Amino acid sequence: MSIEIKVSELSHGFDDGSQSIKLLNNVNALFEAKKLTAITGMSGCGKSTLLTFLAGLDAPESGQIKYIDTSTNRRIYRRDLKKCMSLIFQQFHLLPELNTVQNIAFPLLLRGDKRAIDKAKFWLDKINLTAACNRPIHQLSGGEQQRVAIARAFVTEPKIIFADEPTGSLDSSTGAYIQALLYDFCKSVDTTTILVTHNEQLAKSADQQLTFIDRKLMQA
Amino acid sequence: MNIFILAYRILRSNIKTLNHRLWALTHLALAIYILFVSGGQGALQKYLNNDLATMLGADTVVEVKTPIAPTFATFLAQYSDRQTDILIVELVMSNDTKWSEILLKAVNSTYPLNGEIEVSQKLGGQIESVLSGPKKGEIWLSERAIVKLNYHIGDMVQVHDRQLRLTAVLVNEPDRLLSFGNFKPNGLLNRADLSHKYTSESRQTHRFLLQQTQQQWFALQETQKAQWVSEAQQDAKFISVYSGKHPLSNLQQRIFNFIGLISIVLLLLAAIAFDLAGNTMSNRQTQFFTVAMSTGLTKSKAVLIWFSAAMLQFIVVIVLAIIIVTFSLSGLFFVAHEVLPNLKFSWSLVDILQRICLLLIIYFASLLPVLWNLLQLNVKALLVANSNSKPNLSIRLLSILISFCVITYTYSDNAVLTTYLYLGFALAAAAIYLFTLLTLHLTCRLLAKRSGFTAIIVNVMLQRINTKIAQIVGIGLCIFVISFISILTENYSKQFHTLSFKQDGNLLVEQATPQEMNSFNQWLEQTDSSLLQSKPFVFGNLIGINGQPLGHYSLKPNESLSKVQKAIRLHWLQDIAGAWQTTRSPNKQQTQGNQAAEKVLQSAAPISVVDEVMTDLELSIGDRLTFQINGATRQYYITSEHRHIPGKSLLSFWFVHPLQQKTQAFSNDKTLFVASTSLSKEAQAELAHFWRRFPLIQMQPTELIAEKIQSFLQALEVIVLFYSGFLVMLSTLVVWTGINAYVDCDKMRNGLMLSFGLSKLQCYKMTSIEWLFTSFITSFGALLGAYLAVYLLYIYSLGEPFYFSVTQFVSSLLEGTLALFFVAFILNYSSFNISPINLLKGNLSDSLSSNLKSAQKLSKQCNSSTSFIRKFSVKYIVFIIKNWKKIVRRLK
Repeated sequence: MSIEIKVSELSHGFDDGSQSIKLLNNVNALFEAKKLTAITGMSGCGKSTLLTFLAGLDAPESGQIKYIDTSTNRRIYRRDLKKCMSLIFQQFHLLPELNTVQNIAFPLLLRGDKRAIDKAKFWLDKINLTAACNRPIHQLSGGEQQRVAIARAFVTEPKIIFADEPTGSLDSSTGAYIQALLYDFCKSVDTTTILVTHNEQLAKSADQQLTFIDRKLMQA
Repeated sequence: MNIFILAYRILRSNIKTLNHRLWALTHLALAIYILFVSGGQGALQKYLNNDLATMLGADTVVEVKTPIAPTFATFLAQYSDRQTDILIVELVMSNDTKWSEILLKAVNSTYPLNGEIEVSQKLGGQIESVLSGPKKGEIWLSERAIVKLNYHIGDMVQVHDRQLRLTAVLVNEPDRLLSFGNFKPNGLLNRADLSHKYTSESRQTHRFLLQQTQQQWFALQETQKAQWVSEAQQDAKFISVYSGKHPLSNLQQRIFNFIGLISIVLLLLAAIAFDLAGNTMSNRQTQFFTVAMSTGLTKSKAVLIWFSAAMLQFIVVIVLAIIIVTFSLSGLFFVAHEVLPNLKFSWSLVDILQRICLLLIIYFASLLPVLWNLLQLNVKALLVANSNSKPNLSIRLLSILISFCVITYTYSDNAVLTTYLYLGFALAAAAIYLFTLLTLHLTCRLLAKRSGFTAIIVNVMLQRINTKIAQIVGIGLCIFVISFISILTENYSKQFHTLSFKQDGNLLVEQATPQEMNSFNQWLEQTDSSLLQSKPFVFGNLIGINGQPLGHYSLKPNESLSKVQKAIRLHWLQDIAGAWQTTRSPNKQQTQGNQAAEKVLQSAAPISVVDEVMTDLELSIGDRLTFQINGATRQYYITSEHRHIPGKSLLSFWFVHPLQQKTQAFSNDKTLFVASTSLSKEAQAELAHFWRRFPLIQMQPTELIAEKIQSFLQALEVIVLFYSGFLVMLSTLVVWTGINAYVDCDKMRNGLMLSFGLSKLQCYKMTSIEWLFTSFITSFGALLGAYLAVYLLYIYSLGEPFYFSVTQFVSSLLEGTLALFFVAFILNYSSFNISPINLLKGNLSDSLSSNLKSAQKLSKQCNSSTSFIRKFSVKYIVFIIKNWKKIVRRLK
């Protein structure tokens, strides 16, 4: 299964009390399956808002978002999308009560997967943190925490990943390492990845780069 | 800007956070409890003092239970300007099939000495005051007596062989203070209509009302002290307006002290809540003042602003608590008006100031960790990541210790009781702690290789062990206390009811002469009833211990002391050791080497004392007791102690001596009997008629005794309920602060679960498992501890088997678990108010950024206020220098 997203005529705005502001205006875009698409733009242009719509976490005022399974050419509905997607956050959001391997295994443990810890250890090895297996999360550096967050996103073998500024809280060299790791994983598991970033370097390395110009999404 | 305005603004900003609100609420709950207890005690004390001044009916009252020595009245007359003597008797009166115990007071023409008698001409009629008692041939009965005996005004009332006319309803007597706590129906008649020969001496009280000056009172006291051994009326009880001591003041002080002392559990719960809320609060305040200091505020000024804000909050809390307590106590006293007329609530300034000081110490002790962090403030911390340091553990412990010491110092009046109480709580807390730790670790081991919600949640609980344990131990202790008291109350109530009927039949003869017993036995045979037990006794007054008069014997006020000050029953057996459990062998060391004491001991008889009295009167084997029996002084030495088993039989005695030659002489003289009987239905219907023939025989249906105990237990339950209310309130605050300490983590966990495709229902399930588990461990551990404590109490202290009810245990466990679960689930509800969007936007909690912004804003105000104060101070000093002569003149 591989997922492609088609966005057509998507518009959204908000009311700040005194006036209504249009954030997205007739946005049209195609996020190809198994490809990594980067969305860039200035602060406050609506990148993260678009990501919440794409991830099915919120609904826009108007327009359509279609999820298509390209292998069967069938439409996937929002409720089913949640079972095959993962999110990567700028602030990692790791659970402080769980150790490194438990954090990676967390989504599998919730689903009652009996091999959760083994699978987590496999991904722990892939992010080169085997030594930190049982370490409490607060003992890891920012870069290490983001690697754990990425491993947690991939451990469920999602068909689509949404990442919001994954390198936003990291220095440039750590950011570059995380970027390489993310791209490598996306390619290796054939996942459709959509990431929102300010980092031009990161965006340029993507298969497709879309940028916000005048509240519309354009090819960079 | 003024520092106080700044402090106010900080307080207003702080109070908007849930953590701070919880912290303040905990202080409010504690303040309400302490002020409630103090207010209640103060008002009751004032009421008693007022009683002493207005309801003594004289300057001094002397009460004697034993027959009056002929010289005693003359002795008293030497120290008074005027006097009147009253005979009070307790007897059973009957009218047709109705009967009731009545307290009759026989007065002469000189009564009352001070004040007036209040009467009315019909039930519920207008009250009028009269200056003398009933005339010869008349009787006045109280409303309760009239209703109980079904009399009407104008009826003829039979008192022994006299027929007296009921001419008025007795409302109040001026010397009613000494009847305080006696709720028996009563009446007033002329002294000429009641001869003391008609009533048994044990049920007679002679009361002398004296009009005297303070000098006469002191002189009387001195003479009484000097002559206590030779003077005949050694058991005389003196109460005077000049002594300033109400007979009940010691007892009520002790009760309130105990209620105050058990606030230690509340304090423990509060301390947990303070600690849980304090960590977050401390971080917030530290961040705030660090940012403020980075913009130029000095550390001393920061501490001053913080102190002002804290003080302001304390004032708000205290004012609120005073308002709540004033309304509650006024309402409560209004309800209690029927039992204690004229009881009105008002604050005593000294009391309230004392308690405010106590609360202030507890308040600032709880703020010690925050103050400690403030004193460590350093702007450098802003540049270093993870600079939020938790307050030092020793400081946190010190803050709790200070509060404990202050509470103990204020309320403890008995070191042994306090030690037992604290030791009991400490053991219970330790047991709950170990049980929780063991359960969590074992469950974690069992689920180590499993996945699913339970495995995760146990893991999370283990990681949050400090908070969880604090919550579990705190709430567990609260459930333990409530369960312990309720199991005991319930068991006692049940057990007494069943046992008293089994052992003592349905009628108890409390006192009967041998002649009366003979007639009673014959009547029992005629009515097909049976005598179950019969025991002889004589009345005696304990007047001295080890050669010291009882009044001079330094003892803490207690139940036993107040009882032995009245006439008590002495029973005899063929052999003490054979019939009673002797726990210690006699020890005559006390008199060794002292010839005079040895001589006394040789003439003394052995006696066995009940263990409860031994402890309360601080007696030990070998101690000498001086009794006055039938007008003669007798010496005993304690050779053994026996144990009374509650509920076993009502026919038990505190003092038992063996039947020996030296005791036989007085034992046979004026012997009385107690007995238990089983009356047939026919006999029950005939009882009132039998009583009319023998009005002096004192009997009580066991059902009535059981009812009295039930009503006492009900009163106890009300106190338990009041205390439990505070325990539940503070436990809720502990749960709430514990939840609030981890609310962001729980929100993140729920947000992540939703982002992994799980539904909100599964988030509810996760939280439900966590709290069901916590509630179960807490309730199970606490109930197990409570049952164990009750079991040990039954086995080792009461010598009774304890019957464990599985159904009761399971139902209590279910009640506790579900109640705690629902409260926690509702309080946890805010953690479900999350979406993965919040995680994307990173706005789990925006308190930090707002905190930093407000810190910067306030620091600017600080700078302006500092310059304002500086300018104001300079102006003020210049003014004083210029006008110092004028100021001095004005001050003069």
